[in-house]
Amino acid sequence: MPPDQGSFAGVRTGELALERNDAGFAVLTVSGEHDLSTAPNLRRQLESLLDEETAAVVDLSPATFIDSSILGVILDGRRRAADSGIAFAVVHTNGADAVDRVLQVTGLRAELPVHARREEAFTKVSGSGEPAV
Amino acid sequence: MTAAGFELALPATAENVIVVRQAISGVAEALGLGASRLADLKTVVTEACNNVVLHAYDGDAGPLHVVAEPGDDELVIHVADEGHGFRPRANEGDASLGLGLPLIAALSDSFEISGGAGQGSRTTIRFGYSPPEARNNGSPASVPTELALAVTPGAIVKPVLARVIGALAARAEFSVDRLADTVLLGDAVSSSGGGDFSDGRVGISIKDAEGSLDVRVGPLVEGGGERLMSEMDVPGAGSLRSLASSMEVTKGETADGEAAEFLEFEVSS
Repeated sequence: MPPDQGSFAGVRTGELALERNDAGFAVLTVSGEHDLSTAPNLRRQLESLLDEETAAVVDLSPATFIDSSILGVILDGRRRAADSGIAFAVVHTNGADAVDRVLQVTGLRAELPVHARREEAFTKVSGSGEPAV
Repeated sequence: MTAAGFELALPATAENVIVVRQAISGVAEALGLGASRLADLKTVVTEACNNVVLHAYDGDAGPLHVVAEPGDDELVIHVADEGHGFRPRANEGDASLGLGLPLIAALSDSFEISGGAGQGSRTTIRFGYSPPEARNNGSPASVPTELALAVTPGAIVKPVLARVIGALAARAEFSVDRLADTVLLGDAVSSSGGGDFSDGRVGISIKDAEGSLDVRVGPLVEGGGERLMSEMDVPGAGSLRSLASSMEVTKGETADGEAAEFLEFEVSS
């Protein structure tokens, strides 16, 4: 699936890429700058996955900016997944950028939690890690 | 360090927030801000604009005003609207509700929200060019845990305080009951009207400790602390004071070095 993308003055905005794999889960990769204007699209894609009961990994690694509205979408997704017994994980492999700062200051790096390695997140949603309740 | 600032007026839409972010990035570049400081600046400006887009006009069109004023060692940013500004929204199911203001508080040096019914709202953010840790004798970087808020008395005090305190209590993993108690204490402070505050603004700082919130209200005029405590005694309903694990009036100073009182209390999870 081609990424949804837009641009403003050379800034990469609102890029999302959805990848499904044979292990039965989907990876939603969030790239560029994401805020209120892109949050509805992220919400739609995430809800669509959860509607079809597909385990999901949200990969924030290529994101260069996220705001509280994006955090809200992710928190809603996590809550809905937990309510429905669908495995859900968030990963961010970078350690020192704007996204990391926001995750750290809000406490969500520990609260979500945010995995530092894609393999950890994949293990969680593929069933060999923490099972879906 | 000085550079030209800007004044920006544009429709308050979600799509325009990135425009403001780009404008402020341009100022940051001219000021030579480092990457991490720029990231913090983009976040605080974005969250202030989000509040206008989400809350000022109920989805109708309206203006978003942004002014950036670079000074010698800090950037002052004003984000204003001509709508009704912040209002509590009981029907909002957005889990991000309440994260925006704490983010602004955590990443800026200080911020203030003013306005009232029919006057629009104005958020003024002071943002130092160097990170707070660099101004603290090179101490290791630490995540800010104390939030300082000064709100002009009026209709916005209660919703702003309730949201900030509620968000912090939720983050500290308070139970629903304790969270409600904490918001009640915040409401009691909001209801004081500002008359006992030395600088005319309702000032509150909240420190997020392990399993508790340490709240400091003030600066207050002499006797203001006792009056605030006595206002927490509700006839027939006991005292709100008992919701706090400790509460006392302390002596301190205003930002200008003048003697003042503070009401300090701790709420535990």
